[in-house]
Amino acid sequence: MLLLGGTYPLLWLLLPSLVWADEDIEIEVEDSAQTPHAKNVPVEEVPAEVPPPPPAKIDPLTATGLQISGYLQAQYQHNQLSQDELTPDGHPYNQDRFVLRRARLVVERPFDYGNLKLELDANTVDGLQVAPRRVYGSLHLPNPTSAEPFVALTAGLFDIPLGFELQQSTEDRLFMERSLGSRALFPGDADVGAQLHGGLGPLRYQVAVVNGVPLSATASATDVFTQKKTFLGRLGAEVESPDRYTFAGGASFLSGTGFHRGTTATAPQLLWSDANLNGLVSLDELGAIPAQAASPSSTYQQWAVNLDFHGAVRSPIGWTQLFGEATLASNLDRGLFAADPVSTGFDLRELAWNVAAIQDIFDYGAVGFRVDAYNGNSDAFEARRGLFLPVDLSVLTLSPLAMVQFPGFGRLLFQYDYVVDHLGRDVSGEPIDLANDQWTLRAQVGF
Amino acid sequence: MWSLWLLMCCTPPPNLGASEAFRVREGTFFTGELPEDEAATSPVVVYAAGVSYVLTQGQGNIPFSGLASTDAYSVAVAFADSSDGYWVVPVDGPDVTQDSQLLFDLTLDFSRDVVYGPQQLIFVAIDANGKPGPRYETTLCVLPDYADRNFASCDPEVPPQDTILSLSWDNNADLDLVVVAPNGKVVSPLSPSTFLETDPEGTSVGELSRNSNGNCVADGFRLESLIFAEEPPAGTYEVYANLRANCGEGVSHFDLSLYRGITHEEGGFEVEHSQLLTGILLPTQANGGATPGTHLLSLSLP
Repeated sequence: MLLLGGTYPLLWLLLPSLVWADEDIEIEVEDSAQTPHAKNVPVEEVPAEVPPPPPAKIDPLTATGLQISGYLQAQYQHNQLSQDELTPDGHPYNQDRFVLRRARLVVERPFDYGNLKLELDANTVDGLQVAPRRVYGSLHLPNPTSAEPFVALTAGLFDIPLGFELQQSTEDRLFMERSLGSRALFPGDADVGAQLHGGLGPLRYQVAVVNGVPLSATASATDVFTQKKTFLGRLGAEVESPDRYTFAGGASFLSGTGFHRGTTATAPQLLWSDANLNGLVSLDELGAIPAQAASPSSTYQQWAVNLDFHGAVRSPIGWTQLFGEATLASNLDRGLFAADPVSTGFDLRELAWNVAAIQDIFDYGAVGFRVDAYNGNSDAFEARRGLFLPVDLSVLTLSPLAMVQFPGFGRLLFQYDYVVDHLGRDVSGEPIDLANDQWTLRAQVGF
Repeated sequence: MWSLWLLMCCTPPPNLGASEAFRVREGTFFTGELPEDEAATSPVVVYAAGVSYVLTQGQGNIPFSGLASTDAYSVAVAFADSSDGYWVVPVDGPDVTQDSQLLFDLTLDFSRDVVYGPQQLIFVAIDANGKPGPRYETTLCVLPDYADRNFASCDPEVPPQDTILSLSWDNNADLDLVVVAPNGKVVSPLSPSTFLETDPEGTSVGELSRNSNGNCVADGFRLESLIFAEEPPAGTYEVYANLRANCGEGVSHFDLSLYRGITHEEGGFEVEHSQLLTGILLPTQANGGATPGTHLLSLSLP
């Protein structure tokens, strides 16, 4: 309740500058409460002692056309790996913590032939961060028979138009995060560029050119823009009957360019190795490392193809949803294994897929289940006992979910992630499943 | 339902071996007794050896290598009697000069709390089915960190130093042990000896072991000792702990100990340990060496 109660103070901290900035605007608004009464009473019959009607209450936001919304996701998460110890490279093992996952404030201004949107995010995923998540302007040719325009041109920071998950609203998504494969290939769900999209009848199309570096909360070594931009898009279809069913599906593609960092020139160094462990320097323990020349940076090709589907049917107990997608990619992992074919000497093949189902239980909750699988390098090998043996880097995650809805206010979600991988070692040194399951309890409120 | 909740919330985390007497950098830690089968004939560890027989408490990056039979998949290693579990490393490739038996390498880091003195390190080869072979023992000896590589704990013929006054602390701050000897000499890292030219000939001299974390260069020792190899001159020693620089650290917890070497009349040696004082130093007490620091005690030695 503490989390829920904190929403409105947050809202009122953020809103005053937007609301009261428009106090001086003069707007002529017809008072619907007074007008019918005035029409039925002759002017001369109005008693002189009747006080003048109160001034009309004008919503400044309505007057400016701004639409403001927002939501907050606060959670507690637990991971089996957690303990109060550091990894060999100095990072904490502990992942048990409270997290402000998302606090979003969305300001939108629709026009007849366009749209402006600003979405700000605050979170504590990696320290306290406040950053824009979506900022774009859009010009469109509206379709009078559909919410989807015939054609729209959008520029700025927008959702990456590939597949289903990347474009699903984080406010509406019940599962805590995108599937592992989606997060590995796209560490962030937005990128900067321009997009042409629209629809004609049941057909939907999106074509975009972007920097090719998804913006995420944590920067990584692969966050380097290349001169060649990334082209991607989706062609799909969507049919729906309001309150009865909706079916959608599509095929997406991506063609981009990755960046391999070169090395800088080095200075000569003197190296001491305490070979006899006596703590003293002797001549035979000294070695020289000559200076090295810089090596040039280079680029490599990335591509991906994706198939997605989404279906929902309404029954007396609520909506039943089934959705999923599969992505086949090359050299595109930027979040988990950081694919770099220049270093490995061969192209890396990635395969990600997920299937999920959600069943609403009237208006008071839902249950769901998702299966997602990801293999960041289908051709991985490792040396064991002097032999180069294939190694399975696939990770399978089974995620049951339960949600309690508080209509008009918020919801409470619980998700358990049963993770099956090959990252542990048994007593013979063979890969086994690592005990790294996790669960998350999340409260979400919005306005 | 409750059991499911307990499973999710309260399952103890895996033991990473971080608090063990030693850690193996390439290894995975397993709790429980070291598996071994003395009756088995394979897999076996043919040999295992380190670079040096002697090491010091807290010393790291100690390479060990060895050879295991061709049916070995991994090698487990543990101390004979002081481990809560054992470390496992997979074997490497074959040594074609040794009938293609399999090489293995591991790098050990010994904690500062490892028991000093001779220790038995046990290696056991494990096959593809997790079945262990017989043990292979190798001996090493751990020197106490306060004794500045005195071999008394490893060689019974070597006597321990007579007196050691040792200051240790728990972070990377630049603390200094400062002692004013009875002859008036101020012993500190800048002047690391009790020797004065005016001392009578034959006077025992005490020397400071090191300037730990000097100039905020973290060395991991966090310990300075004033060591008298022979009986120190009688008198009162004024002992100070000086926080020269806190090096961005927080509160420093320190420990002052006295070690006295005792020679038994019937032969043999013993070291007597006395913890004299523990305390804390605040970052605001850092003085850059302008003063001797915080006076801890006056130590009278006979």
